[in-house]
Amino acid sequence: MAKDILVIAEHRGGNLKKVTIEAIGAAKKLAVDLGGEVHVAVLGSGIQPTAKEISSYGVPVFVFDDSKLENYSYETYSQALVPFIENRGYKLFIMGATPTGRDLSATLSSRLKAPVATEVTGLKSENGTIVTTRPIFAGKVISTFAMDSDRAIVTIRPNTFELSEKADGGSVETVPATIGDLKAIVKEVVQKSAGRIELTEADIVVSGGRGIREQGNYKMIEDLAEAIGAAAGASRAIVDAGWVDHSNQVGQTGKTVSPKLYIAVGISGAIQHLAGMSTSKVIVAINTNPDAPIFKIADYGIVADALQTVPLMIEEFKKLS
Amino acid sequence: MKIAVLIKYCPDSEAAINVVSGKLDTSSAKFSVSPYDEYACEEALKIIESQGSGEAVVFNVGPEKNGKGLRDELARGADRAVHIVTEKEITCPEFTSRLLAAALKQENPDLILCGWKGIDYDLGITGTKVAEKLGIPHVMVVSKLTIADGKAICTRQVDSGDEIIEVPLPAVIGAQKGLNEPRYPSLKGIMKAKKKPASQITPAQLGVEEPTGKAMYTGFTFPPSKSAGKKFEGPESVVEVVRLLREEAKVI
Repeated sequence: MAKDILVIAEHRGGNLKKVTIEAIGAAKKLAVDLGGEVHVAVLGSGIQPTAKEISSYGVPVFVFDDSKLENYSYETYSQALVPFIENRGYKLFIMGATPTGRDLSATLSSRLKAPVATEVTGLKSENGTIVTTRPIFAGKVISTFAMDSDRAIVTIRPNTFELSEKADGGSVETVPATIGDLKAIVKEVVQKSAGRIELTEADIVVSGGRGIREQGNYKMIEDLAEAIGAAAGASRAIVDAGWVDHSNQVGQTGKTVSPKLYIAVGISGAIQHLAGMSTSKVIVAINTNPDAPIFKIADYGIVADALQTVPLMIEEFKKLS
Repeated sequence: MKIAVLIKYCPDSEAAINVVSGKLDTSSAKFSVSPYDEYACEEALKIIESQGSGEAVVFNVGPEKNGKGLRDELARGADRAVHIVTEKEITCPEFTSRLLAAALKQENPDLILCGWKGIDYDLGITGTKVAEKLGIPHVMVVSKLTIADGKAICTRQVDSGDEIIEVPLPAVIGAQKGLNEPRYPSLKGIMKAKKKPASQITPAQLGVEEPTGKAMYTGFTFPPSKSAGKKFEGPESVVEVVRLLREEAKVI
């Protein structure tokens, strides 16, 4: 019976995603219970330096380096990974609950005949059964989902698990990838947020809602984010109003974030918004309405007008640096 | 062009969900079609309108009451409904996708649209599994779709931006928010929906058995309730809050 864990790394142009290091951390803890080892697979083109970087966490890294793997595609990735996995045997596969990780996990689920737990926030093993915790119904309920199968797949919610420590003993091995015909062709990759902090990986997120009153004032949210090195998000209301792109939306029909600090500016806190941010460690809310639902989950609430408060907060943040 | 739309009927985002002795209780929840599936259905209607002809067939797996969700989409403008009736709600995407794939094989659609995930269990697995079972490509999290010359050109939203992906049809396309603005059913649509064909079929009739896998939900709880936070009045309290963030919460 296989006991080893394979973490499937994610990177953007060779830059390793933080969630991959969190996945290695989670895998190492679980491997102790399972009595197995943690291996990491990384796929891409010209990514030997990335593989080296991963090995600094003290794990064997299997690198699939091929020009056909430059952009993620479920076809190329699964064509490279499935034969490798069938040859070696693994008990558990862990990746980030990112658009890429979620897409790959669904395909691997079919091709490896393994169940998947997505957006996992807790992970343990009980006598070889993989037991996960995952929020469902917009975070209103926490479910326990147990996988007592030969193989299982887990995608972890970014910013939820501790980063792996660096360690000695890592290694890098190149694995040849055979990529056959493809049905889906990636024609183009349009970078929208080059240089910006990705919402789901940010340590601090600042989001604006209706309380900023008009589109032009979103600049204030971006300035606040910049002052503290945060990513800027938005409520559904102002995305639907066309003030901000949907890629900035935090909530049930947007992104799920779990930062150390979440600052909600002029957001009332409808359940669909809470779904996207309620697992944040510390929440600050600024709202004129003292009865706004956001105050029920805020650690620090400020009953005040957003437009008057944000400039003062920017000043305070600037004093810190 | 025949377009299949896969819909999920589940508690809407504001619905009250109860947990009683570790079990889920959705009996007092208001159910509706999962929002991402509404984008999928709207896109099917738009494609058919722009081509001047075609058929949109909506599919659902679940108990008798889910027929309401199918009728809602018929009222919106879909032409026909296929309801795979199960005794209880199915929470195993492997089972759901086996059932859908078996029903879809009988229909042979040119294009399959679905929401990229359901808003209830937030898995996002079923659409891809259906594609894999039918041996056709899939693209999920699609915010723009163009159909031309037997191909689908999709804009797929990823963390860093967008990917433009081209796939040959048939394919499974998973709708993301932003794909379109779903229309509301008109009164005329609601009246017409009553006369539109809706068929029911059972897993046994499809020759599909429940998977024997041992992956399951074993418990449900409410999230830990947060203790009441500190509340301040007025913009100038920012000074104190920032101090607390630094010295008490230690997050900045």
